Amino acid sequence: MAQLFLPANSRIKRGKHWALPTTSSAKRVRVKDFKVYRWNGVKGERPRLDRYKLDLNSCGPMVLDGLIAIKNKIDSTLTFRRSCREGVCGSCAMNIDGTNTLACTKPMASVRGSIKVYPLPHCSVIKDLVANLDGSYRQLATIEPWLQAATEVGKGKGKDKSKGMRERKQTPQARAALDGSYECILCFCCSTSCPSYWWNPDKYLGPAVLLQAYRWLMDSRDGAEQKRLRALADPFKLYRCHTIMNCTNACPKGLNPAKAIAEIKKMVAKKPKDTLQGYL
Amino acid sequence: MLRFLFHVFFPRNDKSGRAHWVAQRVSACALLPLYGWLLLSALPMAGKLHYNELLAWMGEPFNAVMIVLLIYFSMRHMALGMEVIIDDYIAHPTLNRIALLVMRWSTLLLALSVLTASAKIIFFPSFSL
Repeated sequence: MAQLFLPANSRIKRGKHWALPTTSSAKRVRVKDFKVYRWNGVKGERPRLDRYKLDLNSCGPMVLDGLIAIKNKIDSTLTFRRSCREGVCGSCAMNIDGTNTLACTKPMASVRGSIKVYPLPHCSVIKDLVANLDGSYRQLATIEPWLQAATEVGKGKGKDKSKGMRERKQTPQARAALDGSYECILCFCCSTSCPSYWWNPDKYLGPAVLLQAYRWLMDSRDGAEQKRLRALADPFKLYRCHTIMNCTNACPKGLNPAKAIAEIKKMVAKKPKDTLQGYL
Repeated sequence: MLRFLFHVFFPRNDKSGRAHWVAQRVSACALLPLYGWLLLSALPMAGKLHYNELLAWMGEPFNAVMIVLLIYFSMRHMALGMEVIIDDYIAHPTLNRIALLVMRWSTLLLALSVLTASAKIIFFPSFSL
């Protein structure tokens, strides 16, 4: 349900101001101001916005480098997820300068003024910048994101024990159909930027999960297309997408979930054989 | 009778959302030429036509059919769009059903009254003088 006002426990109060750590380096300091959302996970306590000052000469160029420097040198209680620090794991997805993106691929120099860092929007928060994505993962499981082949490969006759164990081959063209969807790293920057997903996160699958659904629909080795389309054809699971395009705007990998959803809608309009009679 | 019309206007067999999606696109495509026709034919007449001349214009068979189609698809398209807004923003199941019912009945009554008024002008222009 759309809410016009934030609940009391989501209203942010002013936080601490942390001073610039002293350095012995003779180099001139280049100070960057950070405003970071903090919530310690204690119910009943309101979140706050802490301010940090950081010398850009003392850390790497990306926002994640800045956050790590803050954690190491200024405030060790700051909590965030990170792993690969090069945009392939999707752990450090957060809202930076008003846009959902990966902290590890967002240069600090691309943000004018102070860098505002919040957790992914419209999720419950576990602590500081760690958003709870359980619901999205559960939705991903519902689309059965694995290969469901119609036939077995490998004959398995006589001494041949390869029944069902042979490699499934694809032509380069069939493989190219997966370009633009298999690269998704499931950081959920897109889903959590989508207003439709904000209003109906329990019923609408969201762009990230629908892009994965499309990835399996397009796989030439998969034989469960009809079943998958039937499962998706639902007023809420699929049709809450109103081509707002925030997903495509937010995707840190430059993918286009909105186009994938549009393609799924076209496939549903063509494929399942239930009636359209009497509807116009 | 009204109940029958209601179900003609809002069929219940769309569990997948697919028919709704197709209907919204078909009605949008139908409205493009219809509104184009309305603008092209009505704009040159604006301010130049007498009331009874306009009644006569509406009484011509082609114009009458176009106007009825225009009303039907406009109302249909509006109801489909309103349904999307209600489903998006009213999650409470009871409130959602009430809002949909109110919206559908008022759209149907609006469509019927506009169609009745047009029929009166088309078939009995002298009543409107």
